[in-house]
Amino acid sequence: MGVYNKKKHAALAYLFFLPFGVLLIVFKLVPFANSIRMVFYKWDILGTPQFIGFANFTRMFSDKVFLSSLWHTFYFVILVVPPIMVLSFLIAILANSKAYAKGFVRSAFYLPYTLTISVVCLTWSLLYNPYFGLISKFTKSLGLKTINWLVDPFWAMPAVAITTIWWTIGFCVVLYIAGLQQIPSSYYEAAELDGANSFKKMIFITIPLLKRVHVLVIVTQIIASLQIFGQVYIMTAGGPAGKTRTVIQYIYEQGFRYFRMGYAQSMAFVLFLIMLIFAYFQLRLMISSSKEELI
Amino acid sequence: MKRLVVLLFVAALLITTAFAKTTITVWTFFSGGEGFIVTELIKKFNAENPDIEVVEQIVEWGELYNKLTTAVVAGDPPDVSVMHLALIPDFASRGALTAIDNYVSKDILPDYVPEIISKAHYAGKLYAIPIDTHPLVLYFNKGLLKKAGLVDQNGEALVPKTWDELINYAKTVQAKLGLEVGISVESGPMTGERLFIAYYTQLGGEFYDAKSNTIKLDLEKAKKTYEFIKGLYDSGVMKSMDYNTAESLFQNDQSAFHFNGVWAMAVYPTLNINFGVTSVPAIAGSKPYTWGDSHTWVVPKRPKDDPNKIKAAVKFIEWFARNSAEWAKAGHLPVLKSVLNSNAFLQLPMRKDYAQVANFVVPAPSMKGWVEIRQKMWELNQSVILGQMTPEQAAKELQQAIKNVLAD
Repeated sequence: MGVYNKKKHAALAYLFFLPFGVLLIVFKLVPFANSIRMVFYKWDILGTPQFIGFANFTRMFSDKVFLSSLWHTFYFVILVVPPIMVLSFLIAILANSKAYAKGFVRSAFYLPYTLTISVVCLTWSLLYNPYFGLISKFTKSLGLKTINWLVDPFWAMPAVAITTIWWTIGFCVVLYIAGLQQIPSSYYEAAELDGANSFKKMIFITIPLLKRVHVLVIVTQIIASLQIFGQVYIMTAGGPAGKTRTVIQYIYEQGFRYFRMGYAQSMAFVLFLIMLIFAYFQLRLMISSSKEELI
Repeated sequence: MKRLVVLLFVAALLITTAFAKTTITVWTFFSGGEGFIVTELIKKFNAENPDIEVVEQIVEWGELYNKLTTAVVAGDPPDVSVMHLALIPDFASRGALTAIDNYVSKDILPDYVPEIISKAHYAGKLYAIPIDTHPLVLYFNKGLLKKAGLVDQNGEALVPKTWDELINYAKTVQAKLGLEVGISVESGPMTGERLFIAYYTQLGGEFYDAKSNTIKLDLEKAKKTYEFIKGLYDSGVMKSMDYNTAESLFQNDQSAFHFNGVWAMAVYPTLNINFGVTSVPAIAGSKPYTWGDSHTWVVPKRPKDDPNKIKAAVKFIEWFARNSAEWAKAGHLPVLKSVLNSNAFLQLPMRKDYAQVANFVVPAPSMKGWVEIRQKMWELNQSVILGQMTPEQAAKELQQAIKNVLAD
């Protein structure tokens, strides 16, 4: 056996990195750098890019459709993230309990997450149908007014949000279950000896100790929700009257339908910055919470 | 030695025949019944033309134009692609299509419905071979009309010829039979773009101003059109709905009338519906003009033109157009007059009832960026229906959108 050679070791490390590194550079970093460059250009994909400075950005902030799409996207985040957090936490508690239905609960809530987006959206579109849908049959039998979910300007976005929550909650439930299983049972036993009831155990042990999971769920869900596109594209096509158009949808329309790739890149860049801010907060919170744990 | 010479000779022969065969790749987005017909037609063409081999590549419907754009940029597009007529200006103006004036047979152009072939041109050059038109038409449920007593002396269901008749009949059936709607129609593209263009054109509105040679909206007529559409919704004879709901209501005897494209004729006759099909109604004194787009074949631009390939490609797409009676089984109307008047076409079920519509088709105006305008039309129409915008505001905004797109 040879003597440990630092140089050789490093060379070997680079060699192992090479296959992935080349792919990363060619398919991720170069296009990424290019897309950032394109924010300063007017480019219709088929022609030669034309330098226009910051014109894409000035256009963006006077573009009513962009601003409304940005608002719709935030609105969607607000509609999805808080409910998904609370619900997935409660479901995880149920699934982690000693209840006999544990296995059923776990698979029942995880199953939708394995379906493809088109299956989910088309199924829910049928459920929402005011004339033939299951939901309207149900509300009718209760004597409630039938809501025309996907073409009603007030209900369209909540309807898309409900579908999204149903579809993606399984992922968050899994995260919470993993978090719950890491809490040592001795904590609860000690609390019981001190006479704490289940409510107090929840407030003072479970919720605080899941801090890292809360952060992870909030941030991943915010970032995922900011990128909403498929659901509105399939279920409402951004309608009615553009009331559910989101930023990614508008980027797609501008770039690929209207041949304004530079403008589309600029909007994508703004969305990227917004997501970067959330990712930064996540990192900060994660680091600070892991420091706490060390203490 | 002799054997070797013979062997070499045979090999050379094989190689030359292999080289003589021109391969043409074709991108389509047709699936289901339409896809089946295209595949069969390509098979037939290949059998009839041993020197050309057409290879079909099916691209997902929503992805084809994106992929085509990037393939042209990459310098490796297919030899032929399907393209909607309304998109020709977007691609032709950016140099993504090959002009085929010098390749096309001289006798085919005069055979076309003039309105359609004129839109296959951009800046004076021919860029596409249209194979059909798929206009908006009116479907009616004969059973429901009869049930509501709307019959002529022979006991046949009454067919509305004017908008007033349509609205009258629809309201009568809706009230008498307690239906959800009188007319079921999707409230985005189908109403906002297609019905809009039909009514606007019938009012005498145009998108093209010959005096200034520009695309222009007639503000007054656009406003009137929005008022008309709003009236239909306000009266409850039409309600906001998506495409699938509109179809389901019609197919399940829940609406007496239904606006849709002729492509629905690929399916409706196979269902258990007692229905008829006719042109959209007309404003008294006007012809029943209606919206219609077309499928066309185009030859995407390569970095270097290969005249042999283009020649073979054009041969194939012309052949396809001339054999479009077969393609018409998918419900579309042929746009070559010789095919439109052929027995092969007219003998297809119910085609006689709407074949004449081909003469009143109004395609999208020939402009770059029409896709953006029509998206705007879908949304403005919904804003008007929902009462979030007055017809006048919507007309003005549409006019402004057209100006912006033209100026961009």
